[in-house]
Amino acid sequence: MTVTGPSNADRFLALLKPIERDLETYCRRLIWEPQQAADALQNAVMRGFAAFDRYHADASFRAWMFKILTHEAFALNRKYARIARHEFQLDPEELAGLALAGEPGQGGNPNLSSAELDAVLEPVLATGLKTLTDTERSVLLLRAIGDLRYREISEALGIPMGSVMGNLSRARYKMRSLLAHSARRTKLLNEN
Amino acid sequence: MKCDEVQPLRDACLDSELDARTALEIEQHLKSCPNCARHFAEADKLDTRIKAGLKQGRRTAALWEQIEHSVIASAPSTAGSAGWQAILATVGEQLRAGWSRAPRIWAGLAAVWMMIFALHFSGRETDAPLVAKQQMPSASEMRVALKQKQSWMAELAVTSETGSTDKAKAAPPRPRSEQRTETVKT
Repeated sequence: MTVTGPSNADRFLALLKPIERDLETYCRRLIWEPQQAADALQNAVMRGFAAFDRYHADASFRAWMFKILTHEAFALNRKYARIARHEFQLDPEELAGLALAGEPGQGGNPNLSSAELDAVLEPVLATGLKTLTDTERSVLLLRAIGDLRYREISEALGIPMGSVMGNLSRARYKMRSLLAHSARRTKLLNEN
Repeated sequence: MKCDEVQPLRDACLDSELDARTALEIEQHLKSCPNCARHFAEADKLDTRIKAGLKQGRRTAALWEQIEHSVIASAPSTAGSAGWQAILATVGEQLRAGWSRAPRIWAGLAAVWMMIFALHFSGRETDAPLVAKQQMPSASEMRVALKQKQSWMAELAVTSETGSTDKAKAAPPRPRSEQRTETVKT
């Protein structure tokens, strides 16, 4: 008698299991409305499973699922129109001031220890992500959490490689500036 | 490589996204330029912190359990197909066993079956042209035939009309007494 192989669902879940934590972390960072994170994950996984027949085994399942989740999160962000209410942009002058204060090698003296950086890290990340545009945020998160290559990010977001590099560079610049600035301010406050 | 050429490539270099040649050129520049090397080191340090911070998250067990249940529930049932596969496998095994026991008989049966099949289709081929000949005439052919028929009808009507007028003009039969006198005169 022939032995039947694992079903589609079994194969899908076996590939999904190792990336569940990263998918959830990515989703919670990307989506504006925290209550919508579970829905976004559920929808993305179900969409992925429905399209699993079209998934090629030689492609990266991780990149494929992050792409689906990104589109789902963007759709929910648009649907609930939270972006305008939550997102705030820093003025160019304000950003330049932060950069001069904290960006390494551009003024200031950021000789900050790891402990000093870690002390302000989480609030800076939460605030910093809100200063980014949708594309900057997703590029940064796909690189940091998804560990995707530039080419995979380009395919996931449907933007050219040059745009990926540009968005990533801007996102990192803003985040580094905020982190260094906050850490320096906290250090000064503690010294006083 | 100069400083202003190296700085824009900093992120791509730290992400190991550059080709080997460019990466080597940057590495050589950093060895000779402490300022750029310091920028790279600071950026790397901050990026590492940011990445570690962004990656901090948890897996909500209850949520994933629910999602996995949904996936399994939405999967099409494979019980039916497994049953058919088992039946087909059994039939296949029996056929293979029969073939190995009496291959000549099976070959003969197959040849007879092929002959029946060939005869059946060759018989059908002879019918095909007959069927093809019995096709409906085209519209133009039907119009021509109709016109011809109409002309025949017209001719028939004319001939019948002329026949009737001749009959009308013919002299009525004379009485026998007159006929008898004529014969006497002659």
